Amino acid sequence: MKTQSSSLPINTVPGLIMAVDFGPQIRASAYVLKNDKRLLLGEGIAHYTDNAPAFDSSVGIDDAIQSLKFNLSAFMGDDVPAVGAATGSRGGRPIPALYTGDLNPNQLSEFESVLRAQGFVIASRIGSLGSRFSTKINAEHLANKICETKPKLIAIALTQDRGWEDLSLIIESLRFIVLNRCDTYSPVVAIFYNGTPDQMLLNSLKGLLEVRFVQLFEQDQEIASAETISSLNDLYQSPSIHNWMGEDKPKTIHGAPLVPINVSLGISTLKLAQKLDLSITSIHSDPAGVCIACAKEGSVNTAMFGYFHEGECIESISSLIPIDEILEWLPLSIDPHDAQLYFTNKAARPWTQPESNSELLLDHISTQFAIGKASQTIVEEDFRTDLVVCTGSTFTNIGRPLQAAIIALNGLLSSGFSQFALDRSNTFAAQGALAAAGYDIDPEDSLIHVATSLGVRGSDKIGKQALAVEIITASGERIARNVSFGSIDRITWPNSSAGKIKVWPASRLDIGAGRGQAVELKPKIHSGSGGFIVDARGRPLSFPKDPLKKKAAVLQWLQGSGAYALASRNNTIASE
Amino acid sequence: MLLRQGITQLPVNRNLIRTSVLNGKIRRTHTLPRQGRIISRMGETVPAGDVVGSYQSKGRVASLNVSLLTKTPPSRILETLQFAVDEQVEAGTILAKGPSRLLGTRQWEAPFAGSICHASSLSGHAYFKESTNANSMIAMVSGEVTKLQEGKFAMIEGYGTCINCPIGNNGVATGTILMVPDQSKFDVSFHTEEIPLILVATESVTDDWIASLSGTQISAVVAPSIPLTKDSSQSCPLPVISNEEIRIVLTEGVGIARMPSSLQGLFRSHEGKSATVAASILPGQSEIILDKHTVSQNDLSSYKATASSLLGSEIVPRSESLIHSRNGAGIDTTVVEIGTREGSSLWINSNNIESVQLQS
Repeated sequence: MKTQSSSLPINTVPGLIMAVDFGPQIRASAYVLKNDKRLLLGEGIAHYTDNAPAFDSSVGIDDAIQSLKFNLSAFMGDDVPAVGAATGSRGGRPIPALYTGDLNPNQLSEFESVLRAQGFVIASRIGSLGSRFSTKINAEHLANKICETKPKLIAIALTQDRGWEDLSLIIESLRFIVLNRCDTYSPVVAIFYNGTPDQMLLNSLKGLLEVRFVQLFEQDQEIASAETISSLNDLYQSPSIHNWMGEDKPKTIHGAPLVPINVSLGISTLKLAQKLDLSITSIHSDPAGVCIACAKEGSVNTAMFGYFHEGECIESISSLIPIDEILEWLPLSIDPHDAQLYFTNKAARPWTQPESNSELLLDHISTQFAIGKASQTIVEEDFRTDLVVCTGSTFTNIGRPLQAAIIALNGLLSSGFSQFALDRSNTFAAQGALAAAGYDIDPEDSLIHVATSLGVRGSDKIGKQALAVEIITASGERIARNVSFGSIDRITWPNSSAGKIKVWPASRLDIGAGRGQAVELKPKIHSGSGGFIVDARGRPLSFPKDPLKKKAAVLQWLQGSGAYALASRNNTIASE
Repeated sequence: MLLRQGITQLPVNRNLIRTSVLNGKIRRTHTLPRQGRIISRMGETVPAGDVVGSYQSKGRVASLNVSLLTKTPPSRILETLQFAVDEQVEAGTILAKGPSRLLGTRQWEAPFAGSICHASSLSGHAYFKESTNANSMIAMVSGEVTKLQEGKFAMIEGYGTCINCPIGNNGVATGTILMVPDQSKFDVSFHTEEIPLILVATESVTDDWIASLSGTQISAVVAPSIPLTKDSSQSCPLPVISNEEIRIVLTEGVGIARMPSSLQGLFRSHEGKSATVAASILPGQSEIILDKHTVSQNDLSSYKATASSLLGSEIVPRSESLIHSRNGAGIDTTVVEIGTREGSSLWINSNNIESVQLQS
């Protein structure tokens, strides 16, 4: 555990440290050391620029710190804690990369993990380099692919000496085709090599583009040497600072590292998973994108959706949402034109908030869609997780905590028992960033328990009894419920009394112990504000084909969960 | 909880309400979109619209593996090309010939007028670039060049009023402000001045009306909104504003919102004077700069709604403080009690309003 670096100002409050989160707003959070444990003291929030039009993140950071000082003035007096780390969906936004090279599938998977751990996401791939590279890929194809995706990093990984000759083609394509077609596009080319490059060739590559050479393998032939990681970290910092802070890093965060959002979320998730000995999935969601971290058996995997599109940073996932798929999940009668209008204006002003129930649902369903998209790459078909942590401004500003649990459940479609927790202070990722910078923090402190869910695996006839649930609370109250297949139900009991849960599934359905096998949860469960959500929709989830029945099913799911105030208005369905 | 206590009871116009109008010193960095040169010098005073840099326009590029065509090693391809690098040729000109064969000779013809920009002795490829005109990068604000990097950017500092807009198409245009209160009565043929005009419409405009302005002296259109007409499976705002010739910025958003009267007043106070429109498809990055605009005591100050059905409506906060409460969607947030021009009263999320008052 790091105590206090010599370059940081000395605080009279022991171990006082601050993290800055660059999200849709700037959040400064302060932590104090108490009984060898760092605890969250409070937060300060500000807009980026002390309002538009001129974008200046240093104004926003100063404002957030001033707001924090104001909030904590009684506690820390004139002390201003040093900023230990910065992260967030802006400052720590992933950088899209294009990969080309001659790595074998195992090496590529390892290489991809290394890139991801340093804040880069492989958004596109081109063939494989090798001795006959030039016959496989021509310059035009390469240039078209780069112009389409405009990756900020072009990562070329070469394990063989022979690939060096083909590099000139890539660099030439960039210099003479791509830069002539794309405005204000200036990628960094990182060449990961394993040999001794020809000096004349290296000189020819330098010029218009920023080219970095990085030794790929160490002596033991492991990808990700210390040099690779340090170079990637360096490559990440400079474009991030340039994108979000102008030419220079603001003075207030000068000594603090910028930690990519997936890395900070991954660290917090892993720490929590190790502490609680559970499999944990955390979701960081805000208007710009969704980042997911799954920690299981000592390792963590991350995935993202949004943040950038065709090389440009986006501020709202609304611009990536297919309206038809969203409307499928909407039980209200909303004109597709109105939905499109809402999302278009939301994309232009991502900071605005919904003013009505239908706008709220549009926002929540688009988040659910983004979670589903992000999780596709890391979540297996039968996805089980013990705990889901919901963080980020979408969840922090949510109307009811139960809505966060429903969005996460619908997005992840986990089966078996899962618990949902909400990070009300929105500091889960910031704490991971501080941990990455060497400050030990307990991420559990900022979480509140919301609900527990049970997802059923398998399929049955709609309306047939799927589950029998029994909850016996500590006060002796017995709650029994039968839940039909294709529906959602929610059971609540007094939060002061933990409940013992037992569930009997129908013979075709599996809730974790095998088809038709009853399960009794060993630990007693607190209701939380959301209670116990019984999701008997089956996995994989299927919608009724008939449009009216589909609307009715979605309405039942949302009504059954109790997360939204939705009236049953469709008389046609009722009469059927 | 400390945080909430801090927010509650803050004065309305403190930090939590965005401001879309700013008056005073304006500093803008002018970055060359691609290879080019900065013409201005450090410390030089430039008027808005003046050329501060130039760069080559986008052009097509054709490439060919000349080494393969001519059956020569890459190191010798320069000798096989019919023209020197950078030498201008017309479309159809033969650039390189393969060895003679019984069934004819393979050759590489220039697909358009241009020049060979590079012949690589490493890959054996040659690159043929289309001839294009030089583009000018113009100053967005009248002022002094305070920072520059040769071949990259110039920073200019000046004075004026800038109005932030949510969305536009791409590009920068300068001109003289002309108010258009009624589009149906506007006849572009009456305007024959050489100085380009920036039309400021106070009502929602249509794509067709903007298209009818093409080929005239209109350099930009500032409008409160454009109706969403094109059906799209995605909600990306890009297809909404898609005129190539005229720069367009929307002050309110997509739909049929009107321009708030305080904003109209701001533009009217600068009518006939020079302004710059910087349009960007990136949310919140578009702006209008009223060059050397000074604040008069009569300038209105007000707030406008920036979301939902109230988009573009002028609003008057009834209370001097923000209240922590749930809004219509049940979100626990800071809200402001407002009165509409019609006299009704409602609560609106503080994130969904913007201040239009001039702030220095």
